[in-house]
Amino acid sequence: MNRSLRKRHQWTWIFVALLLPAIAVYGLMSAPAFATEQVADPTSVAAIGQVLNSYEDDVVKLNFRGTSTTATQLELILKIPPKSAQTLVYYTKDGQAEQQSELLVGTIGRRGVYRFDFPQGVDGLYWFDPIKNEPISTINF
Amino acid sequence: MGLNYQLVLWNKQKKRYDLLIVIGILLSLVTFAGLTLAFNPNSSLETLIIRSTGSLAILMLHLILMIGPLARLDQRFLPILYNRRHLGVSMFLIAAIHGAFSIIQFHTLGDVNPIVSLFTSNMEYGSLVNFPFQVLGFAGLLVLFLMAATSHDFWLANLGPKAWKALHMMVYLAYFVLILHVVLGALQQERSPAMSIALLVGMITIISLHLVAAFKTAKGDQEITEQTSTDFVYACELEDIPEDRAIVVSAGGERVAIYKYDGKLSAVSNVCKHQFGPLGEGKIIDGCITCPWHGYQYNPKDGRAPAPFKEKLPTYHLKLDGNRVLLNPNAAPEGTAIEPVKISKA
Repeated sequence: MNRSLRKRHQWTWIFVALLLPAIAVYGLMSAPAFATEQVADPTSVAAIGQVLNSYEDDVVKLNFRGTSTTATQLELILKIPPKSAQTLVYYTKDGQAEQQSELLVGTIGRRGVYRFDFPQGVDGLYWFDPIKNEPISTINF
Repeated sequence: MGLNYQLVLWNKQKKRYDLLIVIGILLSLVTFAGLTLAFNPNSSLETLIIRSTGSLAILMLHLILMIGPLARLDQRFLPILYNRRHLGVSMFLIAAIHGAFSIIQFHTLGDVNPIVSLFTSNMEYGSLVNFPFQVLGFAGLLVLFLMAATSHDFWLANLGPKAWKALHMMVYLAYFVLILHVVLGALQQERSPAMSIALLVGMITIISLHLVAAFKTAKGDQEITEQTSTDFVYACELEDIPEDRAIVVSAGGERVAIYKYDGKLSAVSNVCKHQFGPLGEGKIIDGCITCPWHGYQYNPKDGRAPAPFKEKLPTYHLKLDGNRVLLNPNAAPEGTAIEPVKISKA
């Protein structure tokens, strides 16, 4: 290398050394508190009680299941697989669609039956594409 | 060093080295696939391909970026530097498979052009953490493509060493954006700290090696200043120069390689015309100064590459004052024949 190239190399790496580790560490520290890819696949959960209520559209059928008059399980029958490569399902609360870990229901992908715990106080479902970082759709119960 | 351009310049050493690259690539892919299937059996084939090729490409990029500074710090790494080009092209091909499968899986199912989708599906360009990491990967891949496509002496000759070198120094920009691509992409979904730690260790190793090599070689840029007469400065003692090798001094704003061979001394610019390799770290082979990077050769007397090659180096006047080697720091025009200084036997 000639002198100017050596200097250019030196300054390039001083710049990289100052900036890259700082951004990388900040990026790693800011990772979401839950790993979306490790949310359990809820297709193997057994059905509870009987269907108390239902909702259906072209894409999905929702069965609210329970052993008494209170639904404790949401059975989601996916008719058409979503176009997104990865789809997260959240409950909505007070009509607010937010990506909060406590409202995360799970992931859906293939056509089939998915069963989730159904907590009290939620009022809808919110589908989100974490790769494109954009909402897909919302279903209000 | 070849007179005619060939698509791939293979010799026995390069073939052996390429075989090692292929074996390494296959072993890495099989190991990654095995581990993924063991720990995450629900992974689809597309996901497996995307992850295994992405991991391998970033690992190869780290290895490639280590070779340059290691060769500057220790000459034993020079043979790897000589063979680095094929490793770089292989890394691009692996990265291209990763990029192609990612675009197919993530951007071809909608009704938007996949490339447009890549740039518009996540518009949080103002956010650091939610920055569209796939765009960073695309930018890095584009740089790697330009480098792989021009990794040939045809392009080196036609672009000229300066432009070619500037283009290939963009690998540092590619490294920067690809590290962020991994951090803001795959590692946002990875709960095990092992991958993050591995990436940070790799990054610190690369940065440290480059800085150590840069500061170490910068010391050699200190000009020799001891004026001995009107035109000459003191360069070194005769015994400081090993037989058939050189000592490098900094004079007149650039480094000069002073070679000792066949009872003579000659001085030429330390900068090879091919890729700016350090000629003073090479040795005399078959009567010619031989660049340690890619084997380009020059006659020590006039700095000219042997015919039919046409490269020419600046040459320098030397004098001997007893055992003191004196150098005129004003370079003669490239290719000027300067009679070597004869070493009298005491």
